[in-house]
Amino acid sequence: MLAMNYFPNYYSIEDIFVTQEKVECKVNTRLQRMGFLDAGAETEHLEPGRNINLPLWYIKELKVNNAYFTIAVPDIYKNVHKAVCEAETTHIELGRLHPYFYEFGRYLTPYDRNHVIGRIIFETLRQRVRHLLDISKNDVGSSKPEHRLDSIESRLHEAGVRTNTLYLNWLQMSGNNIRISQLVEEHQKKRKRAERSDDEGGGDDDGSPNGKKRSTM
Amino acid sequence: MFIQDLKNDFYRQLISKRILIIVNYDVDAICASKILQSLFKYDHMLYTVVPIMGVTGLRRAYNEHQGDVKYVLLVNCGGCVDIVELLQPTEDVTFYICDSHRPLDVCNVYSDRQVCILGDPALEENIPAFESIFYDSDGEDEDDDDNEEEDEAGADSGAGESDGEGDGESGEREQPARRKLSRLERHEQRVLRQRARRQWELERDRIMFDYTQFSYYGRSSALQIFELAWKLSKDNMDLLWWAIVGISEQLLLGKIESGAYTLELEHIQSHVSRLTNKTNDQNTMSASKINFENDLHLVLYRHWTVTESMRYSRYSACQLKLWTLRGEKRLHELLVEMGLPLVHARQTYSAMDLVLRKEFYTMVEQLAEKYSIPDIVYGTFTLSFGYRSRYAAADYVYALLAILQSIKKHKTPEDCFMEASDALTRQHKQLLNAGIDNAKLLHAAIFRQVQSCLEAHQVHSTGSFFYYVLQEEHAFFSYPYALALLAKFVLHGHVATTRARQAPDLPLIATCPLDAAQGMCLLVGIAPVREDSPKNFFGKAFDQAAQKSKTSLLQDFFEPSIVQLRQSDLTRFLDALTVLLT
Amino acid sequence: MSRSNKMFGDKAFDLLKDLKRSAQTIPAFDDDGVRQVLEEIKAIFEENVAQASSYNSSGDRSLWPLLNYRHAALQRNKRCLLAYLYERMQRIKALRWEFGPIIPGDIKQALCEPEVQFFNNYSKSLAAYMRSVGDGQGIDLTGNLRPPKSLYIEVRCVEDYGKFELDDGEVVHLKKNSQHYLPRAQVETLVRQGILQHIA
Repeated sequence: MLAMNYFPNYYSIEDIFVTQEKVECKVNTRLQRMGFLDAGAETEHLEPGRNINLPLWYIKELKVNNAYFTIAVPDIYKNVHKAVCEAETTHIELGRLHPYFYEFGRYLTPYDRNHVIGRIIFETLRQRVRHLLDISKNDVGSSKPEHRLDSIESRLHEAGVRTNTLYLNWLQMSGNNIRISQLVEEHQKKRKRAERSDDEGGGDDDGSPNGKKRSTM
Repeated sequence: MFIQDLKNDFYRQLISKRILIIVNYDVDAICASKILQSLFKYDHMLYTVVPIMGVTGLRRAYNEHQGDVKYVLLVNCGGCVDIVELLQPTEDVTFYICDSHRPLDVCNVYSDRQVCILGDPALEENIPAFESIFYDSDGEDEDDDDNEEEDEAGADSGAGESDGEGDGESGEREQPARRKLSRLERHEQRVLRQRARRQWELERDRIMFDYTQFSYYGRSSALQIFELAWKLSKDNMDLLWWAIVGISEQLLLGKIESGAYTLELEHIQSHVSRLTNKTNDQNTMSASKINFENDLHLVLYRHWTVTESMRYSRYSACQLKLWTLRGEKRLHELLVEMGLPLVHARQTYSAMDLVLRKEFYTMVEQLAEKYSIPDIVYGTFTLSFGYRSRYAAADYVYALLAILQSIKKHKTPEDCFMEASDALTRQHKQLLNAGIDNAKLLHAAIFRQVQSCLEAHQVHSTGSFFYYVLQEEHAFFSYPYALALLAKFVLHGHVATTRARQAPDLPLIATCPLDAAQGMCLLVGIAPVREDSPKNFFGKAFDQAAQKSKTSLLQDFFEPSIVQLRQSDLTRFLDALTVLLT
Repeated sequence: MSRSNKMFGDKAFDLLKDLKRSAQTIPAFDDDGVRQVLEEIKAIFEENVAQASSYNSSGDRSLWPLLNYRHAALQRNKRCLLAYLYERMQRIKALRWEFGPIIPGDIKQALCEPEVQFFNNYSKSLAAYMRSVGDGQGIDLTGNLRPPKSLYIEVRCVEDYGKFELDDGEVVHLKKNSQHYLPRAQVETLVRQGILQHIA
């Protein structure tokens, strides 16, 4: 509940999602019997010069400058590079570009010959943090940020909104009621929704008691 | 029995006991229950609040809580029905009734111990004396029985004279105190006594009929409970404001006369001045303040535009006939004379120019006589807290009524009750504002309905009363309060437009279908325009008409002028009512 | 053999996708999915063993990348499966803290047998610990942890509950939409469970 630390550990589901992403690579040497990795290949072996998409969890097991593949840095990082240089990072919709922008970038940094990615992701986050703080203080639960923020940012945003609400409640001295526990509340809502859809399914029950006052009181 | 010393005989009895509070579905009751709740919280008395709507609700609520509570408090309900007979309580349950409905049931008034009515018997009118309605029949019955026995013995002995004489004598000897009367004389005496008894019964029936004929309202229960709070020195501005809302509701819905209201105003003003001087943060702008001022009978005009408020308020609309074009012109003339530009009049009141706002009241007051709306001015209180909120008591009343009527598919009457109860606290201002918005919609809908009704001449007369029938269910008018407001508006509007001479003397019956599936409809009776006093005889009249036409009437609500009956019985019932009222 | 083993690890990833999609609640235990993943692991392992032994014998390094890849896939599957089980375990622990020692029926259906046993054991441990705190008097840590401001609270009943008995013998009939003023300590659990609603 209260643990806010984001730390990619073995069990972290976020991390598993990130490492599932595909990276484009160029084959350098002839790899025996690995033709199945390439969807369009006809041969049983991987021929050098082909471009294939490999999942990150395989790539990161290999050494950085290994002989088999050459990792190509995705374009998004180049575009963001341009935006960073022109300082308009707050308007980029990172969520749409790539949902795991930062973590992915972190994994790709060793493969980048130009040593650009590391700096890019750092700069982007630095410039967007201020904007993130802004929108989390002025909450009013709009869900639009979901497209514009990537996963780390949206978790930060949620944490910000939560803290802000707690603070406002404390200021207004209104947050002291005993709250219903969260899971129970969601469970009840689910049950009510199920009941309500049942009600609408069996339509003739609706006209009677609850609609008119006579029978209920 | 009556309890006058609320503090000792009522409140002190209840300390550290658990109480069941049963509350009727009206604004006065809600205010009274809120004051009670805050009082009980001071002393940590456990209580349970149950809202009800009518007699069936009362019975159901009592049955559910039956074995658990020994003290039951009925707010604005139960005064006019015999509680002991209705609920069949056990011996140790005590009922406290704080009801503004009159006439109070005589069994409740003369009950020894179980039913206590909070109030001052001296203020009540026409309560029949105990002797005149309850027959102390013990002595007389014994006499009769004895005489009958003697007679029986005598009659038996008719067969065998000697035995009869012997018996008769022995009977006589058994009661040596009895005068020796001949059988004939005894017979005569018995006949006389029976005749006297019958006469007494006739007299009693007449007294009871007079007593229960008219139903009216007494003092507001919210005000009464506030006085209890005052005697306990636990009163504060919030409680006072709720009491003011309670009594304003009585005035606005026509339950009490304006004379009685003005009398109460003086008492309230003394409370206001006392409480205002007590608080020591008077210099804070945002403290809550209650001010007395003369205000206008315009519905919600502070939260609406001036033109709309004038159009939708019953008094101004009927006097100026604002549903006609001529009426509109007259309204414009009035505005022009007031110096209020039309542009401003069409804006929300709070967006009007400050100067215009300040002058609005005085201008209307000056022109009231000329435009024949003299009664538009009345005295009331306003509550201001914070920098922005300023509400008149009438605003609260209309907002709460709108909330109480906002029953929807997934919003039960109890939900509405709880919401209205919450709206009274100052923290839930948004509930109040939502209620005000709803009230605006309600009044606009009433006006449109009245307009269409008067243009289509849908008000029919039967010679002894008017009636107005709504053909289909309406989101607003299928509920008692809204229907009553609509009916009142229709009656006044009709009287204003018609040329019949006896129009101001005729009452109006309005009906609206409640529930198309079950075929029930709601029937409301409104007193004639000319009558100022709110005593109406509809309760009794409906009852008798139902008996005559053999229709089943559901007089469930505690307001006797609102009943439910079957749609199919409507015409028969109206016919019987016509016959009755001529 | 070449075209059919596409990417390993997809099935395991599906398990996790399912889990993430249902946020706080526990979806049904995907018995089939887990079994498929286990079989896949077994298949990969056996292939690898076969080829590794051939490598040992022949010294032929040409299949080294394939072996490497299969090994990576094996680790991947293992990781996904373990994360799946771990996440479910965390959610079950949260269940105990929120719902109390009894799980509602529809949630219980989603758990598999070992998970139910885990829940019971966890519940027992927690109860034993809570009892031992405070010199043997015990304290309910799963209740409301904020310090109370008053002895009595005003509550509104949100659902029908029936009769509820207070400590001093008074019986309160909790019916929907009735309002009560009751001692705080005794009705706190009901508020947490959502039957009563605390009003300011």
